[in-house]
Amino acid sequence: MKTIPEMLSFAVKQYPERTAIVDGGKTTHYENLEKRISALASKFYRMGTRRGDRVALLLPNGLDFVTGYFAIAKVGAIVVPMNDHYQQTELLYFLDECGVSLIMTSKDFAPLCHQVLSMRQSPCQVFWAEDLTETFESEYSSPDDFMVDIDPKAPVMYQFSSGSTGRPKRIGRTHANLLFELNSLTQTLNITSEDRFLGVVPFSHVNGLMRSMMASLRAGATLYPLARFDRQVIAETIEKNRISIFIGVPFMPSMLAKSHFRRRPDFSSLRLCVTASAPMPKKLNQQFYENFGIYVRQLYGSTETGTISANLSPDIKRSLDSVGTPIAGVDVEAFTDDGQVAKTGEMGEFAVKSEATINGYDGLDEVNQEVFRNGYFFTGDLGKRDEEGLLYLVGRKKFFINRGGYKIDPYEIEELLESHPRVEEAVAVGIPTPFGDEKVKAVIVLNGPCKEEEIVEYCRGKIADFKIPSLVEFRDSLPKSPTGKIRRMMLITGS
Amino acid sequence: MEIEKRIIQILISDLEIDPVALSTIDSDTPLLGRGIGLNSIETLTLVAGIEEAFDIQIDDADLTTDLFKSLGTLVEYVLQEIAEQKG
Repeated sequence: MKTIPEMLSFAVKQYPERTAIVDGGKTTHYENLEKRISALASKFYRMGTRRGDRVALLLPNGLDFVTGYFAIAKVGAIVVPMNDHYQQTELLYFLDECGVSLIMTSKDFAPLCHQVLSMRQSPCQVFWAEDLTETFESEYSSPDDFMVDIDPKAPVMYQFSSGSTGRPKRIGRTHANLLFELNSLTQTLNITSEDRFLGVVPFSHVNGLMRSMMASLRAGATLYPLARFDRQVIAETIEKNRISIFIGVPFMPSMLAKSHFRRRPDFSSLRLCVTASAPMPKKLNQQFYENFGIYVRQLYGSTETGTISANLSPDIKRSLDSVGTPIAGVDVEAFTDDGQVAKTGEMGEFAVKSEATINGYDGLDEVNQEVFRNGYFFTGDLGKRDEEGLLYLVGRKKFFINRGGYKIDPYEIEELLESHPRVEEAVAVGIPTPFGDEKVKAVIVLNGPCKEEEIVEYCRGKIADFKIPSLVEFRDSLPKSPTGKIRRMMLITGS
Repeated sequence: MEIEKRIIQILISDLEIDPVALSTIDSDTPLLGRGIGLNSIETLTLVAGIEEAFDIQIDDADLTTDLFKSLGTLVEYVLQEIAEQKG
């Protein structure tokens, strides 16, 4: 098993009759899922998609997303998963940056897609998910499985990483990278075909994609995708389907812990409740435990490295803040500023070595030299290791805003704000919330009269709503260092 | 009126919205867009705060843009839910 399509075929051979996906009322077995994927791959091929082409997926979580993802991989093309909250500016940037020639989406996004595609210079075909009917499947299915020779070291997916060094950086992860991560993850979390996954984190995000959708299919387990975060639907899905693994972002269990249910739902089937992408607030974790009888465990990963560590400590109550120990095959060290390995309890920058890690950012030699050193990828995350080997995250070197688990590049917001005719200079920073994430604050220097509402309205429809500033502050000038660098921390702390 | 005041308190305490910005709002002020400008994450935070404050359950299926059309529509909805769930 060396490629992502082979991974699915492996599960199909082992568990043809087992349920792969339950999407709403529709149940799809592994064998039928592969047939559906093959039919779509055949269609993509007939549309002219070839190895190395880039195909965007703009869909909510569901059977169609899974089918699209594996069909793109099966023709040897590169999947570009798009957040379904993205608006015009973001879509245009990501489609151009990846050179997307085909987009698979739903008719719900038709107006937005037509608008964005009309603004692009290069041609782009569209495949509507609504056309994936049973007639379609029989029309495009063939007795011989559709096969393309794929290099395991070729990229299968492009994602983007946030940072303060400019626009989001494109990351190409290979078939080999993903398989290494999935093998390690399923082994460490002991995921089996008996597991039932809740798929509520967007599959367009590395957390939902790798730790719910792909991990479930790797193990031959059953995936219950949900298109959006709806507390009652989540509670009902967990209870009714005896969900065993719930991977989320901290906002999700936090909200469930705070929610009032007419009848407390039964979460006793959960054997693992894991969050990633932001710290899980201790108080809400305790409340979640009191309500549902299970603690939320923290997992640590990044788009560049995949999953790094998970807290599976038997004494979870004592180590709620920890992101655990490295998963199988992943080497993590904390390095001090002078390049030495940090001692136990000493803070350093986490650096990761594993076969799941990318080799570098495309076309960014200077950045690559800075973050890839001595075989390690330097994450920009600051942390320490305790005497039991548990890792703790305590800060970060990179500037990004973590909104409900979405890592937002401040530069993206600043660039948009500075395109407003009344804005002279703008900075976006993250202000901590009680839910462990941050809200977006814009600090703006104006060159003419302008109101806060005008700024917010200007952003609407251009960027996803979770990126729109919740707070806008106007200042006469921005705090800067003698070299002219903006002092962001002063804007966060308000000093 | 009491419910409106309580919701405004939640906006200040749970969503940390500047009280000065809320001092001029009335029942016609929209909660989304050009009004208070809540995003999807913030509306859920507000709803969880309302559930806690009034000891009611709000169905996420009811969380439409119509519900947040104005402070008044939300107050009306909360009143109805209190009456139904506690009546």
